[in-house]
Amino acid sequence: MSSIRLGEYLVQRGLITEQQLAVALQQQERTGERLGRLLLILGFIRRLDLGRALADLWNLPFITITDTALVPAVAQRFPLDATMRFRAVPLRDDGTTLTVAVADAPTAELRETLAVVYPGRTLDIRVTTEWDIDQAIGLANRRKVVDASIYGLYFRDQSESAFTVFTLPQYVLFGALIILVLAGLWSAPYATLLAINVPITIFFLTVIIFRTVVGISGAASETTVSVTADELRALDERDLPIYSILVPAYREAAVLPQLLRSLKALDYPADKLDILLLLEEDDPSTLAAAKAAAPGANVRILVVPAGQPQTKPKACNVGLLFALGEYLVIYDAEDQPESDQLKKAVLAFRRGPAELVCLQAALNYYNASENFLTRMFTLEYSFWFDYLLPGLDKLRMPIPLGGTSNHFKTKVLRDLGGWDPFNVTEDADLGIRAAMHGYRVGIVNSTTFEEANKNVGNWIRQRSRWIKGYMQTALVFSRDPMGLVRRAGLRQTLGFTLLIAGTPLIFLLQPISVLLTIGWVITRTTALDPLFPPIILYLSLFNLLLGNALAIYINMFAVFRRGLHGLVLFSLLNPFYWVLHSIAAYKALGQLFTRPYYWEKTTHGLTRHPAAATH
Amino acid sequence: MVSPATPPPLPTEPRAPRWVRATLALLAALPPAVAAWLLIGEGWRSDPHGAFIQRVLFAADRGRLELLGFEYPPLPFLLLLPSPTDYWAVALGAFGLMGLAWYVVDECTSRRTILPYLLLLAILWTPLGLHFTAGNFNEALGLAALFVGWRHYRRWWSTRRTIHGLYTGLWLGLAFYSSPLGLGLALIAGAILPVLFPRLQIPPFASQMVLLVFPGFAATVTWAYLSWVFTGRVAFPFTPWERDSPAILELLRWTIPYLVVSAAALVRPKATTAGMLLPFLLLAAATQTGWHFSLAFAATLLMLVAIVALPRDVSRLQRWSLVVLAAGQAVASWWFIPLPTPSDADRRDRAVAQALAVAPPRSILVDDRRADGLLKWVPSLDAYLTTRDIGFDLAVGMPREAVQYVLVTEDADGLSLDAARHPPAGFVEDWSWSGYTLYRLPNAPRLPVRFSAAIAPPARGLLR
Repeated sequence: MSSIRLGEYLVQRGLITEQQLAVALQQQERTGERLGRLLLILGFIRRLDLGRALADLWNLPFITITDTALVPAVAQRFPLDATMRFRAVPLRDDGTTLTVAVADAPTAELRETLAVVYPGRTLDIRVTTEWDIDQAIGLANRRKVVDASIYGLYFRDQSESAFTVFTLPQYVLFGALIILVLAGLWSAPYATLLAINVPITIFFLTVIIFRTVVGISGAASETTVSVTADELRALDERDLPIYSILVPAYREAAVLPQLLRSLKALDYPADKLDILLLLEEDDPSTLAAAKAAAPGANVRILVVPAGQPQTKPKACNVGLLFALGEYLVIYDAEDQPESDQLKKAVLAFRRGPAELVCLQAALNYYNASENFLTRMFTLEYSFWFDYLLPGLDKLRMPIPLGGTSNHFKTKVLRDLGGWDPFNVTEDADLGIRAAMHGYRVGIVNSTTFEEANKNVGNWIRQRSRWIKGYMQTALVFSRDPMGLVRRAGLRQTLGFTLLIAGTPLIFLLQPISVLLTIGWVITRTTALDPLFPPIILYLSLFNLLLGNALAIYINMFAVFRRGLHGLVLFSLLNPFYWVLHSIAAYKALGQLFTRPYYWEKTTHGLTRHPAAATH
Repeated sequence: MVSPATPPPLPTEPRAPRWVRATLALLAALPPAVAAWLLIGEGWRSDPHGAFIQRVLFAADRGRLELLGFEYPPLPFLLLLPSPTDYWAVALGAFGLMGLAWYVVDECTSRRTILPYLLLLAILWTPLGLHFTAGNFNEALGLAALFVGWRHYRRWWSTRRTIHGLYTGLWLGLAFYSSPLGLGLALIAGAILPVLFPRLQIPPFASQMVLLVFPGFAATVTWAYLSWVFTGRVAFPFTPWERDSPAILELLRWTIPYLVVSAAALVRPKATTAGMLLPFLLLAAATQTGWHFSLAFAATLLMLVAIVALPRDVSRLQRWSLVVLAAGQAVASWWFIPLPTPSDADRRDRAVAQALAVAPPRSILVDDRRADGLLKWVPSLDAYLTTRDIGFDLAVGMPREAVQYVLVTEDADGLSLDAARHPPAGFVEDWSWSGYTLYRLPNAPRLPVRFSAAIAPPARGLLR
C-alpha cells in the first residue's frame, strides 16, 4: 500500500485536508518517514482514525484492545521478544481461530511464527493502534516484563549481576585480611601500620599519575572533534533512523513540562523520535502530569510495573523492551540536551568502528553559579566529562557511563543484557561491562545540561549512591580478576581498577591521610616517624603537594575551556569539596552492607536558576 | 549555555619523522656534549656541577633526601640522584639541548628551510653551548622548559586551544623548579594578554592570569612547605647559583640575529611582536630584580625566540644575511669567550679530596661552608661530618670523642676550634698543604696526599 493511497484515502474520508496532506508529504520528502506516523506526529489525525483507515486499506477488521477481552494466557504463550519484534499481540484462541492484534501490516514472517507457536489455528488478524499494542503487552505480559526488567541480566549471567553483593571468595578474602590486620596490630602495631601505609601510598601515587595522564590526554582531545557543524549540515534526514529516548521519571511532576520542552527542542525529525516516558506505578502525580501535558504522538507513556528493586535501571529495562529505535538514549527528567546531540550521535556511530556500542555526551550544569556546592559540582563535572572521559576514550580504557545522555545501539544493548537493576550506578556498570565484552564506549562532543544539586543533604544522598554503585561494580568485576585480565586485557583492567575501584577507595582513605597531616602539623609528633620511612615520606609528600596541585590545575582548565571564568579560582577549594565526597563514601560503605540495592533518590527541581525555566 | 566552542581544525603542518628529528637533535647536542666529556677527562668540574654533585652525594650517603637542603633550584639535585657524576650532568645538559633542537627542527620542516637549525648551531656549537653541558646543565633544562612553555603560550593565543594553555602552565611550572624565570615568564605572559587581546574582558583575563601563574606559585608553596617540614624554617626559593647576570648591553652583543628579527618585526608590529619581546622583557626585568642567569642562557633564549619569530616570507638575501650574521657571532664567541680550563687549585683540591676519601665514615670533621672548593671534588661524603649532620655541634664541642680527623682551611676553620692556628686538643697536625691542614688523633692512620698533583704539568687537550 503506497503512502499516496493512504493520504488520498484519508482526504477522501475527510479525516485530513488536502493542505495537511501536502504538509505531511513535504515532511516525508525531507525525512522519509511513513505517512501515517507523520500525520500522527503533526497532530493532523487521531490514532483511532488512522488505525481504522489502515484497517480498511489492508482489508482487515479494526479492533480496540481496551474494549476487547484479552486472554493473558494466550498472549503470554507468544514469546516476549517476538511480541516486541512484530508488534503483534495474540488476543484470543478458541482452539481453531487465533485472534491477533497488529499495528503494522502483517508480514509472512509473522504468520509463520504464529503458525509455529499456535499450530493448526486459522489466523484472525485485526488492526489496532500502537498505543493499544503497548497497553496489551503491558496487560498480558506484566510478569514477564517485570522478570525481564529485574532478572534479565541475572539469568543471562549471574557473574555480571550485582544481585550477589559479595561472593564467598570475596567474603573469605576480606575476612582473612581483617583478621590478619587485627592480629598484626596486636602483635606488631608499627610494622603492621607501615605494611598498610606502603601500599596505600603507592596506590595514591598511581591514581594521581593515572588521573593526570588521562586528564591531559582528554584535554588534548580537543584538537580532534568527533562531529563537526559542517558534517551536521550535510546530513540527509531521510537517512536518519528511529531514535528511542528513554526518560525514567519518579516523582518528577514538577520538571515534566521543562523536560517536554527540551525534547521538543531537539533537532531531529519528530516523526523519527520514539520517546518513552517511564513512570512508576506508585507515582500517580507524575503520571497525571504527563497525561495533562498532552505530549505529542511520538511520546509513549509506559507505566513500569511495581516490583523490587524499584530502581531507575529497572525502569530503563522496561523501556528497552518497548524501544523501537535503532539507537537509544537515556535522559533524566531535568535534562536539557543540546539540540544537535542525536544527530551527532548518529554520525559518530556511523563513523565509528563496529564495536562502538555506546556514546556518552558531556554533562554539565545550567545553575553553576547558584551556590558553593553547585560551583564545585560544575567544576567536577567539567573535569569528568570534558577531560577524564575523553582521556579514557583516547587511551582506549573502559568508560564508566554517566547516568544520562548515554546513546546506545539498541540491539547490542539488548545483547548485553541491558542495565543491572541491582546496581545503583547501572550506567557505570554497563560501560565497564561493554568494555569487558569487547565493545567500545566513545565520547560525542555535545552537552546535556542538568540541575546541579544545591543542597548538601541531597548532594550526599546522590553521591553516596554513586559511590556505592562504584563499589558494587568493583566487586562484580573483581570476582574473577584473572578472567577479567584475560577477557578485557591488561590496559582495560588497569583503567577499571584505578577508576572504579580506586575512586571509592581514595575517598575512604583521604580523611585518614588528611587527619594524619593536620595532626602532625599541629603537634609535630615523632610518633608517626616509623610509619614514614624516607621513601614513603617523600612519596606521601609528593601525593599531598603535587598530587593535589595537579588535580586542581587540570580542573581549572576544564572550567576555563567552558568559559566559566568565575569558577577558575574556586578550583582551589576542591580539597574542601573532597571532604563531602569522603562523608558520602563512608555512608555508601555502610549501605553496601545494610541496603545494597537501595536507591537514594535525588530530588530535582530545587533550583531557582532562571535557566531551569527558560531552557 | 553551550558546549565548549570548538576551534576550526588547524591546517596540518608538515613534520619530519621522529627518527629524523631525533637524529638532528642528537647531532646538535653532540659536539657540546663531547667537548664537555673531554674537559671532564682533563679534570674540569664547574662550580655549579660541583655544588650539585656534592649535595646529592651527601643526601645519598646519609639516605635522606631532605639533606639536599632547600636551596633553590631543586630540579638539578633531583635529576642527579640516579647518578651524581660529571658524566650524568653532561648527559642531562645534552638532553636539554636535544629538547631545544627537537623543537627547532619542527620549525625547519614547517618552514621548509634549514635556516632555524643553522641559527641554533651558531650558538650551540660555540663556548656558549658548551656552558650548558660543561658549565651548568640545569640552565639547559630550565631553558628547554622555558622555551617549550613559551612556544605553547604562543600557540595558545594563536589557536585558542586550551590544551596549549595547560601545557604552557605545566612547562613553566616545571621550568620554575630549575629557574625562577619560569614564574617570571608566566607573570609577564599573563600581564601582556590585554596587549594581545585589546577587547579582553576582566574575568577571562583574570582567569588566564591565574592559569599561567598557578603552577609557579604551587611550586613555591610546595618548596616552602617542604623546607618547613624538614628544617622548621620556610626557605624562600630565590637563592641563585649564578650570581652575576650579564648586563643588557653585553647580552645584546651576543644576540645580533635576535636584534635584527626584532627590528624587522617592529617595523610592522603585530600582536605576535609582543610575544617576541616577552623573553627580552623577562631578562631585563630579571636583572633588575636579582633573578640571575648566565650569558649563554640569555643569548640562547633570545636566539630561539628569533628563530620562532622569524617571518615566513624571508627573502633569499635576508636568509643569507642572517646566516652570515649568525656565523660572525659564532666566530666572535669562539674568539672572545674563554673556554673553561681546569685550574691548578682545582687539581690540588681534587688531590686532597681523593686522599681523604679513604677515611672511615664520619671520621673527618669539616666545615663544608668553608671547604666547598675541596668538597666539590669528593667522590663521596661518607667520610665527612659536616654542618648538615646532626652530630656536628657535638663533634665541635668534643672532637676527640667524635672524629679521628679535623680538616681546616687556612683562613678560618669555621669550627670555633681556632684550629687554623693550633691543633684541637688531643690532635696532631698530619699535614698542611694547598691551603688545607689536616689534624688527626695520634692513633688514627695517616691519610697521604699526592703532593705531586700540584706540580703536574697541565694536560694539553682539545679545548686548549
